[in-house]
Amino acid sequence: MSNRSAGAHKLVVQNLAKFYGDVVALDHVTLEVREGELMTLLGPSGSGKTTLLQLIAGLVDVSVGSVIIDGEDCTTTPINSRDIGVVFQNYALFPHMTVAENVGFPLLMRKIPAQDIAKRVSEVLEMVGLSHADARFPQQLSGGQQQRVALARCLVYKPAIILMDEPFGALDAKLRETMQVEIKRIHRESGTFMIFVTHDQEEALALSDRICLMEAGRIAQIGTPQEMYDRPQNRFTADFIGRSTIFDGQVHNGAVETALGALTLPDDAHPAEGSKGCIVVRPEDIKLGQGAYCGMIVETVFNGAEQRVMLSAGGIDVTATAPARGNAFTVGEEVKFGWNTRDARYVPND
Amino acid sequence: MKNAPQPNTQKRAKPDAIWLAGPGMAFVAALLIVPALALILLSFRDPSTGVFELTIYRKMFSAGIYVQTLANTFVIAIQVTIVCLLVGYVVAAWLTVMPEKRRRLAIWLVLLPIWISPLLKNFAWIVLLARKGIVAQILTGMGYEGEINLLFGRGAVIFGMAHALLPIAILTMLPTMLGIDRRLMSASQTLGATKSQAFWRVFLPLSMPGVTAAGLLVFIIAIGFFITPALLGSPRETMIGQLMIRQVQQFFNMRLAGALATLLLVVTLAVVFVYDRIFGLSAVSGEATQKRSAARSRGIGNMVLGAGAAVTELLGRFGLGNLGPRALSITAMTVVTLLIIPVIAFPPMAFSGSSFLEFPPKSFSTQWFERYLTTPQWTGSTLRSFAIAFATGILATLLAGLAAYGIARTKTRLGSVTFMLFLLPMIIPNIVIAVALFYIFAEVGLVATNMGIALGHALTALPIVFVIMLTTFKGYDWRLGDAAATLGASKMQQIRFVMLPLIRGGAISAFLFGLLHSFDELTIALFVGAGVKRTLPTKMWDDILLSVSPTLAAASVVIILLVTLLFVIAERARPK
Repeated sequence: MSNRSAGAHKLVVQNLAKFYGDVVALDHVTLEVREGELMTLLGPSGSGKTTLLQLIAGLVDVSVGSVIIDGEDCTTTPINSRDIGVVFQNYALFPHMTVAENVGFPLLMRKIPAQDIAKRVSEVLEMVGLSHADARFPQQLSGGQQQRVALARCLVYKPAIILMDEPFGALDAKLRETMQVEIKRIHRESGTFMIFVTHDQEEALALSDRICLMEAGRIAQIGTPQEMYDRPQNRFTADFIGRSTIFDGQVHNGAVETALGALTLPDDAHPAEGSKGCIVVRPEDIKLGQGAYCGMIVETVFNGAEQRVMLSAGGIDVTATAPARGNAFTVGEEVKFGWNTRDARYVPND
Repeated sequence: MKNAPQPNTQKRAKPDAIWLAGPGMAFVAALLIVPALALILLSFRDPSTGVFELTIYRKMFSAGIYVQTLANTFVIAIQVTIVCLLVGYVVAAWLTVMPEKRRRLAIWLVLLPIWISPLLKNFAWIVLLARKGIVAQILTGMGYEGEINLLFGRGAVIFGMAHALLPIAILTMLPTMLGIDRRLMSASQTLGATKSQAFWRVFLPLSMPGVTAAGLLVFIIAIGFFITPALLGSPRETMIGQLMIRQVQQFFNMRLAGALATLLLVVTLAVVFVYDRIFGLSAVSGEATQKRSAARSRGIGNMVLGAGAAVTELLGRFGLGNLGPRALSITAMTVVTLLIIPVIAFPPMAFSGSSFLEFPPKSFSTQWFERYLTTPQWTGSTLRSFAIAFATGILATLLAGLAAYGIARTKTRLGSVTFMLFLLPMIIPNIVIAVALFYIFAEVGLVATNMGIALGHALTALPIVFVIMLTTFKGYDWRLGDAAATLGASKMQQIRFVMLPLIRGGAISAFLFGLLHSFDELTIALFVGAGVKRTLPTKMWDDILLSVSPTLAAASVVIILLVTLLFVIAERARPK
């Protein structure tokens, strides 16, 4: 157990790449994931997040690089000998087996005695709240229930890692939220380390300990949700995580020359003179009705607690939020806006 | 599935799954392509010197009878195709508008006759349409004066062939029609089209891929037909198939038979080629493709559609518009009844107390069944048919199952080539296959053997068995195997616990359809059995040609009962 000390890397992906002919699905990615962590692989479709997951699971063969699980090189280990669990996108429940048989399947494969199987299956079904459904067939269950069976089928044999491929994709918005809370609870209670693939940044922000944001087969940025939101390191991250207004330009005399004019650089940014970059401002940091700039209101969207106001200023789309109550904005109206320089981020253009 | 390039070289690349189609492809090559080519070659070479020459063709085209027969064959095939398309369209359209539940029942009534051989169906018409038969009696009763000659003419042949081929036409057209989004019709009506315009301008054009595919299939099968013209026709309706039988069985003239087969083959392939250029072959296998038709034929098509709409419009104005739906269902129900008549007409004839075949029977007895069960020739051929059918089912399911697995899993582009190869026995007329097999089997001593017949049946059963197996594997979710692997199942365990239980229904169904195909197949059994190894259908064929006795009706009842039973089981097991 020496290599299982706290903070040890449960999973190490080294210089991993996958090619399909001339197409690079994953471009030499290195990633280390800590014990007990819930990590999200986030990115638009085609960014390589699913490929990375499939390579870790062994569902596709590695072209270059290695996968190390629990200190052991698993790059060429057959799927069935890797200590992993996968919750598939469509759940991949066996249609000819009952819920209990589905959950018991991995134990059967591991030649566990029948009475032990029954006991562990009922424990796990209790954990996911499906004790009553053990004799039903998958197609008799709702989407959310199928999802939980798929998770139970992984939890039952306590694999080192559970990989989930867009597990909430097929669920409606309300159920999705319930299942997110449920997954967080199960993750806490089971202490299992999970990797989660999604294209939904809100889901990633809500669920993860850390997010690995991917773009075009590479990692754009890794960090906690807070870090990713507050300190995006590149334009892609700034644009993909949360909403933001981005002013592209060129650094000149301690400011960024943009279509809106020269914008002061934040104190912590020291880009070289002449480099290309952008100033990123989150909607909640943009103040309406005051400031140095002027824009025309293009659209307002009521969101319940707040409203989102979209402006057009110097050809740039600016998004701001304002409390829903007590603020009346009319489309077509000119309005002043601005922000505190310390709330803005400078991000180099990649 | 794991054949991606591996610069790591930690694991050697696995062979692609398409190789599993190898045995089946070798089988088709050895039993269809090689024999057919050998037969064609034979017709072009001088038997003693081996020099290329055309004497046999010159002889064939100079003798009036061959030219006449060729012309006959194509004219009859075209007439049968037209009848099948017109009548079949009505029935298919009727099935389309039917509520789901009733449709499933009605489709069974159309499907079942497919598995009852044309031999039985035509035999039933011989009795029913005879000079003193029930139809003639009804006509006389209705006051028809004069001689009633329903049999032994062009009309009877076309009726008999269309009756035998109609189910195939209907079932080929149906998927396309069912695939038409009914909301399109409503949409066209909200845009101002009348009901008849909606049909002519929307439904009919969209249903055309199915119609053309049905036309192709019916025509190809029809040009190889010999049973119907032999049983229901006069010498003036002689078709190529009959000439081929005569050349092989009476004159042992394989060269002339080969030349006739070559002709049939050339015509068939030409028709298929033209069809593929215009419509795309994949429409035949049910996968509708929209190959854009040339602008000119489109313009003509639009004119026809417009004229059709105008005529129905006019009829509607005279108050005949509401006739449509009712006329449709009455026509369709009549046709479906006609299709099923042979099935229900045989039992009464078989239990007849009379010593000759009659319908309706005037007295009851089981003597003909006793005769059937106590005649060694009948029981022997029945058992032989069973054994051959069983072997056929096993062999075809194995070959087709492996190939279907390979095609479903392959990453190469060889899948579509393999697919076409397995459907080839369906596209080439059965009589050509039979003569080619007879020729090649004679060389290797497989003529007049049970094994020879089973091999031939496995070849012709391959397309249907293959399509069922392919549907089965296409419907199987391959991620389940991956899921089982992540849960710890080895390759063998994935197959045993997950794949086999899920494809079992499809495999059983494929096996049973292979068995059914063999059980009442006549053409190949006739040639390869060569009068020595008689299957139940060849025994019946010989008896019908010699003398019609009620024992034949008893045998027919046995076949129909078995076929119906197996059909129901197979149909229930078939994956949808």
